[in-house]
Order: sequence, then structure tokens, then C-alpha cells
Amino acid sequence: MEGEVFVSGIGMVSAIGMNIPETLQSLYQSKSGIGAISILDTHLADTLPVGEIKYTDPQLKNHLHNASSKRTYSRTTLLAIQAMQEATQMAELGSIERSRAALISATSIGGMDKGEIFYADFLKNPEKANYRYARVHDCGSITEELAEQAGIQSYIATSSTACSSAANAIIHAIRLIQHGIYDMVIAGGADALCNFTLNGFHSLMILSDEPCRPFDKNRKGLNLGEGAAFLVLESKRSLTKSGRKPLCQITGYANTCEAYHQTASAPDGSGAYSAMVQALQRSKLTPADISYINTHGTATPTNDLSEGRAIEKLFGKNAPPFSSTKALTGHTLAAAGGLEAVLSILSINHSLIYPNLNFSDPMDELTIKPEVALGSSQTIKHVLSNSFGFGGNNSSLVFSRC
Amino acid sequence: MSKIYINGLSCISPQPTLDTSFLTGNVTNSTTPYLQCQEPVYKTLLSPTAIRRMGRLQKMSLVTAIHCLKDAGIDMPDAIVTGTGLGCLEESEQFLTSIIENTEHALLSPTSFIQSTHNTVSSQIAIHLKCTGPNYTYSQRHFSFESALLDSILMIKDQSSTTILLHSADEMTPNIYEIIHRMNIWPAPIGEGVSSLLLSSQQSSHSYAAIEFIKLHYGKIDATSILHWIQDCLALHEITPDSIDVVIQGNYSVSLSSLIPDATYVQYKNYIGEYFTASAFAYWLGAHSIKNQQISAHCIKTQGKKTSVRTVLIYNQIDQKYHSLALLVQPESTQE
Repeated sequence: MEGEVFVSGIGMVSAIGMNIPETLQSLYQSKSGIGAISILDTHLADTLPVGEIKYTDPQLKNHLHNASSKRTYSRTTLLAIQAMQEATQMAELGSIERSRAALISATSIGGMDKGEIFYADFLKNPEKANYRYARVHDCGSITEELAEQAGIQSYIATSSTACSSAANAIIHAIRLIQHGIYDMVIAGGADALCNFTLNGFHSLMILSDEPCRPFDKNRKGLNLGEGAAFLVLESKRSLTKSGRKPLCQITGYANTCEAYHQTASAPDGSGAYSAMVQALQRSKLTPADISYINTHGTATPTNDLSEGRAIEKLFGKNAPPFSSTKALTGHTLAAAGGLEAVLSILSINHSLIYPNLNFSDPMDELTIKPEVALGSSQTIKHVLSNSFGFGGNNSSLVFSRC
Repeated sequence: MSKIYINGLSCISPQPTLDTSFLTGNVTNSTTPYLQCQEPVYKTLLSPTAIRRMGRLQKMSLVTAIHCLKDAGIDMPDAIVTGTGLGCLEESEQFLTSIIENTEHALLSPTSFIQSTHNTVSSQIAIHLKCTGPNYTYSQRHFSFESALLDSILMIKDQSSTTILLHSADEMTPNIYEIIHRMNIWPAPIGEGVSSLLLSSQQSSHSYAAIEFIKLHYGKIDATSILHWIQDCLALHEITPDSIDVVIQGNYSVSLSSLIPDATYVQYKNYIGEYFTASAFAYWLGAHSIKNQQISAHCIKTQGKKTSVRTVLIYNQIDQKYHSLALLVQPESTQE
């Protein structure tokens, strides 16, 4: 299958902005969203900086078009609706187009922000727990709510492969379009901060107590973040029919599994390497064609070492400009692949190379260094975006200028 | 259209399905509040390390994956695709409980957190097999298995994979049963189960059945519209209703008998219970029925006029919202 897949709408919400214009503003100012926790109720608030969206759930709900005041939404769902609505509005999809589109979302913890509150109450007294919170707990509940909002009457799915979830949602969407099953697919992902993941990553001892420093010799770990991002993907036929101007084309993708360890990356970077190689092969591009790499770059000791080695192995010492945007947004887990897809598209559309914040000392094991300042002169033709997850689930996407 | 072959099968469920004796009438009647899987003796099947480290869902999954590959006569699939509605519940609850009970704010053990992600099952199978191919996990309520199946079919059709281990996995725990029971969202009985299917672009001497098509529709439609939708799906694939020998439905709240009057109607959820990936069982049952040319008598809801088992239509729907329709057919060379 060789059908072309285009992107005609994007939406994003994260600690650096509630929408694309706000996000762009933060990007131009190299303004990080990492800071102290003030919304999430947790005993870790004073010790761990995160990329938190500074709106409470009721504030997020008020912000949304069409949100029912009576309905219970998980925070993840509220973020997802915001980003999806922006994407469908940018593509100017009417209700008939939306109803026929497929919807592929991604999440790692679903509505755990409500699930964990419910479960604590349930353990105390099953009679008194709020079962409306239990109903919005599972991964699929978010996608159902998105389908309700968009009026989807075709097909919905949720990808859940930890931190590569949204990248894999986009890959499923690409296949659906290339096989001619759907002409239009809305794809992306969302994850909200919650105690489950914050405590989980804390127990793994991979959270940094200061703003993260991807690819730096002295990196101490990652900062969690929250957010959502969605893309409207279309076939050539659909674009011709609608006359929409695409933002970019997705020319390559790959998903590989390291089969190495449930949480650690293979130190030689073999998994990251094969994902990038296969994505390039599929896009029929050579490493020299890539203008910018938006890395997974979590700032954990193992990820940055294996990803850095893989980039060096594939691109040699003259690697294209690369950076991690996790020091801007935090690691938004399942949403990360979606956020970084949107950032890759903005990179192409606005000729931007993002700064890898907080980098000062190169790693001893690498000869390549990330970009530290905002670059905005050269033409960005092809962007490679990496998303790697627990379980050795590695995915790479290639976005190309139309 | 090229066919997709089911060349290997394995299933652990509340019935004796791992040894397939359920098919010949070995039925377990359970008295527990929810139907629980008949777990094998792991000692002879998995390493002591695996048994010690893995939760139930992972162990059951690994056993069915290994069993399925052996059944298909292959060592390594090109890709692994898993559907799970609720993931590793045991580990998720363990970690949640440890957070809730951690009033002293001690550093928690990460083991249950590590194993709580929905892709744990799929990646543990990959780690065991050392399978570095594509690895996907889908978690969309009653489409969890169907999304995994659809994506697997697309990967085989675009020739990026020739063999795929398609897996389904959902477990139940006492607390989650209590929650679901109180919410009253599923009809009784509630159950659990795991299954593995080896899908291939190539027919083999092991082939059980071929998948002619799968069609999915999400969105509430009424009974009349459902019948029209099924009619349209069949017409699109040039299948006449009278060529269908067997229909397997997840439930019978919608009757297809006006559309397909002569087929034998089969039921299974009374034996394995309701759960998000319960429909995977229909594929296991349907594929075995085609290979054995026999429908297990205890699964027959309505006996039809047909004597052969060449075409099995699987229709599943929940709340008239998650509709999936698939046709299993007898592989060409085994037809008389």
C-alpha cells in the first residue's frame, strides 16, 4: 500500500499552551512549562517539578465547547476534547465529514485521575464510592467521549503502548487510509497527570527533582507532563474532494519492539535504530534528507544514551539538528507522540528547530550534541519524530513538507 | 482479495479450552460469582523466574502464545498485536493500593507499576520470544480485540508482515467484579479469558479457517439498521445469506434469522462470561468448528438446516453500539 497520507488539521494542549497559537508563542520564546505542581493533589508536589496545565478540571470543562455540565469527565478526556476540537476546527470539518471519519486515540492511564479517587473511596466503603468516576476510568471511555463530541459514526480505537501510544495511533490511522478503509481519520492521544503515574515513575527513580536536561551528561531523569494532541489525517482523494490545503504529508512510519526489558532501553540503541531505519526506508528517504529530529529524549540516563547512540549510528557524526522538546512540555507519556507530531508539523510549517533546554555538558559516550537555541532560518523539509515506550515499544514517524 | 489464514489457536478460559476438550462436551459449571479461567499447571510450561515474576494475565498469555505458535508449527511471528479492555488489573490494583496505603510517603516498590501498563502482555510475549517485529496493543472496550484483528489483517495485506500473533487478554479480580456488578453494565455472567491466534498470509496444513473479511461499525443503530448494515457488508463481499452455514452471536438481543434463516445459531458467552475481549472466543470456536466440520452440540442455540460448516459468520454487538461482523471460511484445498 503506497497511498499518500496528509495532515489537514492539528490541535494541541500542554503545559506550554492551551492551543496552537499559545504553543507557538511559547516556542518562539523558548518558554518551558516545567514548574511546581499546583493543581494535582499529591504529597510529591514540593519535590517533583512537572509540566502541569494550570487549569482545574472545572475550568477545563468551562473552556470546552459542548461539554455537558452534568457529565463526569476524566481530566484526560477534557484535555483530549480540547485538542481534538482544535484539530477538527482547523480542518473545518463539517458534521457529515466528522461522522464518517474514524477516530484513533491513545492513552496509557486513561481516566486514572478519576479512577484512583474512586478506588480509594471504594476500598473504604464500596457503598459510598462515586461510580461515575469508575465509568470514566478505562482507556476506551476517553475515545467514546471524543466520538460523542465529534459525532463519529464509523470506527473508534484506542492505542495503549505506554509512551509510544499516540505514535502508534497515528500508524494505525495511516494504515486505515492507505488501505482505503477510511478517507479521513482523526488520530492522537492524551494523558493527564495523576498520582498513579507520578508515584509510579517516582518508584522507578527516574524522575528528576529539577527541570530535566535531555542529552546532558549530568541529566537526572525526566519530568512528567500532561497534555493531548490530535491530527486530522486525509487521503489524497479526500483532499481533492474538499479542496483543503494540507499542512504536511506523513511519508514514513515504523514500529519495532526491542524485546529486551519491560522498562529499560537496550543500551546499544538497537531498538531506536531499527525504528528510525525502517521509517526512513518506508519514506524512501536517506538520512541526509532529514532536516530535524524531534527525539524521544526523556532525559533519563538510559533513553538518551540508547537514542543518542542510535542517531549517531544512523546519521554518523554529521547528524541533522536534533533536540528533545520534553524540557518544554514534560514527558506526556501516551500523548507525547501526538504532541511531538504536532511540533514536527509546526517545525515544517514555520521553519522552526526547537531548543533542547537545560543542555550544557555533552555526554561522554556521544560526539553529537542537541540544538540549544531556537533555529528559524533554514527550510525544514523532512522531520523525524521518535516515540519510545515501556516494553521496548519503539516507533518513528517521518513528516514531510508538501 | 487475498485471504488471511488462521494457522494456530490457543485459548485459556473458564472452560477446558487449552486442551480443547470443551469442544467435545467437557463443560464446567461454575458456582463462583464470576467465571474464572482454568489455569494450567505453570510448572511444566514456564520457567521458575517467569512464574515468580509474572501476574496471572501475563502467565496465561504467555502460555497461550507459546501453545498457539507450537500449534501453528512456527517459532517466531513477524509481529505481535494484542487487544485488552482493561489490561493487567491485578498489578494496577496492587500499585493503586500501595499508593493509597502509603501514608508514610515511603518509596514504593515499582514492580507492580512496571507491569500495570496495558502493553505489558504484548511486550512480555515479545521478550519471551525475542520478537523484535511490530508490537501493538489496542484497548477500546468491546473493540479491543477487533481493532487488533483489523490492524493485523491490514499488516498482512500490505505485506509488511506474513505471520502475526494476534492475542486477546482480559482478567477479572474480586474487586473489579464487585465494581462492575454494582455498576450493572454487563449481563451476567461476568468472565475473563485469553486467546492467541496465529494469522498468516499463507495457508498451511495447520490452517483452521480463513478470514474472508471483518467489518466494524461504532455508533448506536437500531435493529433494522443493523440488519441493513449486515446485508450491505455481505453484498459488498459477494456473500449470499443462504451460503452461511453457522452464525455465532455474542448475544441474541438482535435476531438475524429473518436475514439468514437456514443457518445454525451458536452461543458462547454463557460458558465464558462477558468481558471486553470475550468476542475473541467466537473466533476460536468458529475456526475449530470449520476444521472439525462439527459444531459443539452444547453451543447450539438454534439448529439450522445446514449440515456442513464451511462458512461461519461472527456478529458481535454490545449496547447496539460496538458492531463487528466477520466471516470465517473453510480454506480452499480442504473443501470437498
